[in-house]
Amino acid sequence: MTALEELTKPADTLTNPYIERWKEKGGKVIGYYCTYVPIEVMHAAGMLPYRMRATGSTSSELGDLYSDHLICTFVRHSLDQAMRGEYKFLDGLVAAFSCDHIRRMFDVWRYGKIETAQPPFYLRFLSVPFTADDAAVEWLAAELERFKWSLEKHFQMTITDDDLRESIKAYNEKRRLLKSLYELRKKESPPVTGAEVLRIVIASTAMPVEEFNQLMKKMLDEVNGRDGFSDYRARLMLAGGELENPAYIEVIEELGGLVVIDYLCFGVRDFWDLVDEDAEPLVALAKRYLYRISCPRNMGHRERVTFINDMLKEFKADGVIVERLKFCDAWGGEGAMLEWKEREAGIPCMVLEREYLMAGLGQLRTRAQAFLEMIEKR
Amino acid sequence: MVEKYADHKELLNLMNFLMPLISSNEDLRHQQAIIMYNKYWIELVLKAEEEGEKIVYNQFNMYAELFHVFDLVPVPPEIWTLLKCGLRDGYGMCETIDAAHEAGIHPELCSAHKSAIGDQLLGNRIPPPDMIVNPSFPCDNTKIAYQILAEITGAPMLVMDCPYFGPDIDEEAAMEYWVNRVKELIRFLEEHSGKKLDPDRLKEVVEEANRAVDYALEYASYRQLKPLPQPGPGGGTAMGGMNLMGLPQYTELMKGLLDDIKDRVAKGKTAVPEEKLRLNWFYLHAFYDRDVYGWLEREKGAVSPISFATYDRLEVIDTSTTESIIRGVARRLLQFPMGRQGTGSSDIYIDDCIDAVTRWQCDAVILSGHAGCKYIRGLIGLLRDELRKMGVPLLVFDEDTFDPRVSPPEEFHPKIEEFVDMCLASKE
Repeated sequence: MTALEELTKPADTLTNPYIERWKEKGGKVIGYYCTYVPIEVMHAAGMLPYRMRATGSTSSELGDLYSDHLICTFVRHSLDQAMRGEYKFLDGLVAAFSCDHIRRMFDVWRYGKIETAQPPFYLRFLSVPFTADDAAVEWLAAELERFKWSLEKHFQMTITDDDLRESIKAYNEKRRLLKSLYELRKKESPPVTGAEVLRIVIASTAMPVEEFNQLMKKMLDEVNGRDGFSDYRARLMLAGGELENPAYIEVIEELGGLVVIDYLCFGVRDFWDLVDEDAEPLVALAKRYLYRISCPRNMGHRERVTFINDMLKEFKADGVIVERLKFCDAWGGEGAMLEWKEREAGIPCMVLEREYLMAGLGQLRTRAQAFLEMIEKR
Repeated sequence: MVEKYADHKELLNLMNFLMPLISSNEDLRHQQAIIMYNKYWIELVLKAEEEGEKIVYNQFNMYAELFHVFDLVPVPPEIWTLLKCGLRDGYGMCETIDAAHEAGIHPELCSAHKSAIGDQLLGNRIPPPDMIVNPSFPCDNTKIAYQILAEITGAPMLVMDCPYFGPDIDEEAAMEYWVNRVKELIRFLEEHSGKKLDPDRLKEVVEEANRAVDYALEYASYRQLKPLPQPGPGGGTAMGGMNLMGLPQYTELMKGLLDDIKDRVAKGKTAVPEEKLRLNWFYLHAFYDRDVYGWLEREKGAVSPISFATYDRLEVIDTSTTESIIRGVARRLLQFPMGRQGTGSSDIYIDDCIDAVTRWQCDAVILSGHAGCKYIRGLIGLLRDELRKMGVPLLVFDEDTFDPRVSPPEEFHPKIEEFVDMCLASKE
């Protein structure tokens, strides 16, 4: 099996052989929602941080006992997976205040409605600011100190500054490797598809980072020699909120729209910005997680548009598709504003609403097809 | 282009017509305060625009004292726009909601925000802001809607980042962080109003607000009486707190509410001849369905002593030093009904709801589930479990608090009626 094949597999299932081996060796796994959780702290505690997905879910029936039909379907399916015991491989869960949907789902865990594998289950909610400034950095650094302390207390261990520095280095290496992969997508004939890249980014959140980094190095060697994709109709950016289903991108790519760059949280928002390895670790982490390229849960719309437009140029993308889960207000408003701005700048942009399950496949095909035709006619 | 602020001028005419009718009827006098407050505020805003006074768009979950200290006129865009529910048979916000939809704003955004955005897009609906202030609570709607409002208007915006109040929080550190955010607000207001903070004016405004809070709290205690002495859903500091608190006119309005209920108690008057059921409306009910309380009183003997909007957890602020005032203002800013429950975990809302049931001696809870409020929709299952433990029935139904096309009263009135009948039957 090639490294690329190996790296594209974890996206298909909730758990995978890497997690199973980790658990067999007595390792602990902590789930987290979302990219605003500084995972380096968990890694420094010797844990495997695992980004929460609902992969494999086919219904939200049980989750809806504690959710609502106006809550986003990712959260409903994830809660359903939790209530069905699909996350029993977890030893804890950490969430940041990503959005109203996540914060209320976390309370369902906290109220003891989810049966966990072995109590006491570790639960922690992080107060991550919505703005980036000196006061927010100071707050988050102190919050991370409390987070570190709570991990130490719960798991009866100590996290040293050196542990944190090692973790920062390991995750920075992951980020650099992913950026190297993205560099290859700037080529006229990119050697990887957007769907493959999504799978790889998912793998980076579902296996030990050290093993991921080794495989990435091999994979980069492999794909460098690979024939690139040149038979596309348009080069696209895919922006939006939580998207963990590669099939969504496959539909667009089958129509000839090659996704060469993204603005996704299983994408650039996860890894683009590095942590300063020379600064005091928790302060460095606080700065990185607040000044990173943001999700619209944060202020900073203008900075996001600037970043997106820079990426469009660098990756020679012809247009932007914004995907958003229904009921996601952050991406609802951001998508509309982005559409206004890109239209003004003469950049094709289209907002697509979707559900967690691939229910509106026909609509996606039709709209993506029309979008590609519109780009071709320019 | 429509005439400038035509809807609000029409509202003023309507209020001028209603005022003498209401003030002459002792049983309607409790409604006088809300009409007087709206009338006074609209006049204040229109005059400010005409005379070039500075206008601040403050998100509606903020008490207004600090803005009045700087002689700014607070215009929470959601409140300005929702007054239109009083027009066109309750359909007054539909035009501006549709304008937002047509511009690509997603339909699930809170309709108060959609309408506020529509006001901007259509023009001549709301005076433009000189500055915008938006705390990071209570919900996702406000966070994104204010980014949109800032984009459209181009006005400078201060976002006041609020920590997450939940079981994992270090409350002392969180409060210190929040106090510093309030100090940042003062610096922002100084910069954009062109005035320095005057400690004497600050003390004067906050002492005025303290008097209003005193009246509001005393009034709330009268609403706990059984049988309920005054009909309707009552009032509280959320009624005008976001735009008038700190002004003597606001204090007078609160006093008016209190005087009315005291007078009724003295005369032995009650909301209904025979009180059969006490309801806790622990969310915002449709603004186009204001007679629902009267209907339940007349038809079922069911009274509504407490609601989400009238549930006040305020304290009087210590005005001994400038620092103590700023700290008090910071604490008070976290107590605005809805803002308070939006600052953190589900416990705050659930505990408050239970507290309201207990102190106001309610038999049942009604949660009108506004489509935009995902932070409430996501905790309904937990609330249901907690109320079930207490044996308190809960009704939840879907509605859009500001758009009758989404949820016409004919659709949810039968649900309310069936629920109330069931509660009455179980009491018997």
